[in-house]
Amino acid sequence: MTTWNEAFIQTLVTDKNSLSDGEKLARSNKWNIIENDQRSTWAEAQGSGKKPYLVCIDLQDGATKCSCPSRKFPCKHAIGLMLLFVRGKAQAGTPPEWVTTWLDGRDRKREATVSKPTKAPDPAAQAKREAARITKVTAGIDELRLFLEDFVRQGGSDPRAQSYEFWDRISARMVDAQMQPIGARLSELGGLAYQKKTDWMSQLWDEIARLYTLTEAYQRIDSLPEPLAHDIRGAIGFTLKQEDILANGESVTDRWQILGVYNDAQNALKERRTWLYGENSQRYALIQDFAHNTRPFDAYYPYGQAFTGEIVYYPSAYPQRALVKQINGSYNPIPPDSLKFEQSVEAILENYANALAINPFVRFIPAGLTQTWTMRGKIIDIGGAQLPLKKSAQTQWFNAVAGGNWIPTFGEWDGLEFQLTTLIADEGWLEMGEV
Amino acid sequence: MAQAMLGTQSTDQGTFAEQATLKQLAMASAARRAGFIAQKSTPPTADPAPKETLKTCSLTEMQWLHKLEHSYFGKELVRNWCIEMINRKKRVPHTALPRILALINNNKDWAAYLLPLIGERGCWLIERSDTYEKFRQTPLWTGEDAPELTPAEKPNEQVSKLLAEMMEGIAHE
Repeated sequence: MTTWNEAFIQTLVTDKNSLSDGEKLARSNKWNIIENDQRSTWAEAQGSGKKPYLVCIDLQDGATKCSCPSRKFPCKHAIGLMLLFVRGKAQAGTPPEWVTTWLDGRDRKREATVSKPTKAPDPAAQAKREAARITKVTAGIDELRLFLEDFVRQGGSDPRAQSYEFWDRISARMVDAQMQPIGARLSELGGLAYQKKTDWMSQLWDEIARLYTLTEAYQRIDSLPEPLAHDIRGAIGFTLKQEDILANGESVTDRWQILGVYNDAQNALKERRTWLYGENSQRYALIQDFAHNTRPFDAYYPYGQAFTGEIVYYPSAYPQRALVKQINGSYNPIPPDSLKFEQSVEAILENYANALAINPFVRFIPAGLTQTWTMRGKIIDIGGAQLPLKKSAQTQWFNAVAGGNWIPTFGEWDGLEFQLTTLIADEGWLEMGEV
Repeated sequence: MAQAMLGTQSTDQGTFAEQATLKQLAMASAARRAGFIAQKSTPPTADPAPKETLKTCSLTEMQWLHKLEHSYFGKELVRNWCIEMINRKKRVPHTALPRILALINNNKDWAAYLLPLIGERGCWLIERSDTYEKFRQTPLWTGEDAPELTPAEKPNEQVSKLLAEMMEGIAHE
């Protein structure tokens, strides 16, 4: 059974305002029925209207349902109910029909995702769409190459290189060409000069060179091994259908530790990267979720917890990205002695070099260190080897929670900078920057 | 990279020079990333902060601080919040320390009110971080100056109402 406690709730709830509202509600007298069984807990919460809101939680994975009009997931009623449940305020009971209907629907959806019969595609229409997409992308690639070559002709000391508008314009062209990931990478270049990093110019050229290599690779994609071709297509912006991945991808069943979560946002799109580690397979998996700024992500995986389940990898020369196909049972805390983090920075660097040799387009790898310190914008291992932090301000937060102790941390290494995601301090697992 | 900085400045429409430069940059990029050499120094010795003696402010209490800080007309009620937390013998969570220490460092009016709430860890951080070097020299830190802490005045109904809401909000924490 999942270990439900207030710390676990804080990993499920990403909006601190909602957590506070849920706490306030939990202490109020607006609850009519609060009950639970092995699988779920449910309650009626009185709102401003006549009818109470019906709230329930699937205790297996923390999914919630509430009849209130809030667009937040979980809403304050669900959070209030979670808190009441962990505080022992729920009485044993038999779930009413509205709870069982919801849970049955979730179970059916889960089974249907696994064995969904795919609608037979119209081959002609599909081929036409594919051809049109390829034409757009080919034109986009040509345009990008001309842009980058022109930039080299003018020289990097061109002041336009420091202008957001300069990069946003070409970024928009790439998005028009259905190359959204390329557009996102170009858009980030506009901000490099303002990040107060002394080597920003070299990072700019580094990224430009990598993008140019990507265009070269795309133009020769037919001559490349298929797994690498998948990586290139993915980096350009071609997507694969989740149902195809789930049906045909490499499947691994294991006990998966949820080690790190990193949230990013660009314009109207937010991204969430969740890193898993298989205890038996000793493999990492990256669950990459995207959502519009106003929408919640489809699922949350609480860091510091582990689950037994099946993962399916996207095809790749260096498989990282994956989908969660099945979760069997519930989440449980990761026992500290089961963590398989590296002892040294050297090991992380070697892992990255090996990854790059297999897939030259790999952007970052997961990296855990058993004992870490930070100082002046660097992360340091027990031997004194240092890696630059992506955000030097992370040093202050790290020192505040580590309190002068060497502590385990987890993050991403991209060959130049380390992005801290989670660490284990006195308070337990913490997400970087959490307040 | 020097070539890239200056630009090829080629005037013909052919892109051979540019392509060659970009390919060289790509190779340099791959070599740089794959062959990254970590700098080394003597690793720091563990220097654990003293154990805390105060209880931690709850999430609701911290949420109220955030609300007051960003309130247009209720900013000065931060003083009232601080006095209430001092009376409750509480401290801010470790995760909030960077933010609170930045407030102390940059805001003289609130420094005296927030300082009692940073706990052993906050004092430990101030002692060790270069960021607070100037603060360590102030009378407030050296203990020569211990101003009397007074709650904010309530100039109007809005502020009174906000204060009442805050007190009700944290009543059960």
